[in-house]
Amino acid sequence: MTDDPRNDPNMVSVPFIFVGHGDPLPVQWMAEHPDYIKVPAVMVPHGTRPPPPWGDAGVDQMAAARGAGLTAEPRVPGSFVPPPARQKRMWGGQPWPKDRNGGDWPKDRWGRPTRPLWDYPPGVHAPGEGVAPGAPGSIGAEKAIRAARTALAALDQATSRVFLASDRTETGSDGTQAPARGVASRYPGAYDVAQAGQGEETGRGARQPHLTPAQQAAIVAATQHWSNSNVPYVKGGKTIQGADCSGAVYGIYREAGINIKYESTEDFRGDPQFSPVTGGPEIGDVGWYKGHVVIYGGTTATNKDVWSASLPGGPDSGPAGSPWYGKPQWYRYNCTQQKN
Amino acid sequence: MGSVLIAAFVVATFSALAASPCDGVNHSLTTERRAVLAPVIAKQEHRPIVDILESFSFGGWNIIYINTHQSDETFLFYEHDPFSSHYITEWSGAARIDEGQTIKKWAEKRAPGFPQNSPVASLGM
Repeated sequence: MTDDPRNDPNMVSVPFIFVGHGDPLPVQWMAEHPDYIKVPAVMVPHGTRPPPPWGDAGVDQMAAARGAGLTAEPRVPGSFVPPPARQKRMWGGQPWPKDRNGGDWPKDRWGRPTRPLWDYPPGVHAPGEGVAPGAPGSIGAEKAIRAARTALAALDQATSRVFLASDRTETGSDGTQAPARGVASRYPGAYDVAQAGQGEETGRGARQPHLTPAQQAAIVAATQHWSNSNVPYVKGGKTIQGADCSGAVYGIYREAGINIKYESTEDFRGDPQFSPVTGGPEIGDVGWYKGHVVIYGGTTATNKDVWSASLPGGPDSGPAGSPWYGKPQWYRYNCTQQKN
Repeated sequence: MGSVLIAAFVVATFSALAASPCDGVNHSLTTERRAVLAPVIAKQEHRPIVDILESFSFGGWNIIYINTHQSDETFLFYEHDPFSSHYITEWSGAARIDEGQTIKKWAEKRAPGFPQNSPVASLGM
């Protein structure tokens, strides 16, 4: 066991979220977590599934429902009526307790109050739901760990399949060969780890993203435009009329057609749109220093160049190895599937 | 790297130093002072939120390094107590180590009366 939570086998480091069947996709969350993998799953509530509103869920009734034109369960909120017997079974006929603030717990999709297992005080547990986590014989923590390990194994397998898929090619209607499109074409918004076989593995199923050549060319063109425009340094500015260093990175990316969200230099490291670069920088990578950000411009000059906004004169280029620049932490835009 | 950047800036501005360029500069910033100072400076900066990153005090002058989350991090120059006075000038952006003299001249012009017996020249800036 180390202090690094990523090395803790009991920790789940892969971002995941449960989305109810039939619920809309969490597009915002997906955009902010490009490393997630969508895993089809069938979630069965603990206990007996409530019957559909047209009666007991028998085969005959389902067939009759199909005959009446109902091909799936209605997904109208509130259409499910919880059976009273289930509530009695859950809480022994006692009223649902209030939360610690004296309020009511949120209702689940069947209108029943919810209560997280981990909220129970030591030694207290809900009737019919086993022993509270932490108590002798607890199923909560151990079960959660087992479930997490199982989920991680499934994710690793899924990721491996994605990597294999990226190595394949598919034949287009015109007979040309092209790399398999991977998961992103099936799950819009997900980061395509299989994109055209690009990227190197960085362990644990994650791949280092790469800007496409078109994106790099667009960033080069935008930065040269800014460099030739004598952009004045304006604190808080984000346009070619005036910008500071964080605003210049934002403005140049936007001009290149990559609609990143603005982050100040100090906040940049927490930007989910950028991932730390594990190898050397590539054109378009953003170098972060404490108090400053730059854009990497490649090796076209005598030294590795960076573009920087600073006093005076706005964005200009300079050698990455100059005394001031030193060695920044490089970050790379990771939403290569974003529609720009 | 960050310490180099900030040290270069502070050395080029604050100046009365002995063995170390930062001798005599009070760098302390308690959590309580940070908490009460942030809203005061946010009001001066016309920003909803400001985070106090660092504080430098010397000879009655104060430099407060802030993050507005809307711009580069900024150094605010106060001739007196930040609680009772408005900053007289500000500086943000980046500087190379060899730009120390330029920053010093800038400080002399924008913040007259700033401590000036500087060791910057002896540092080769």
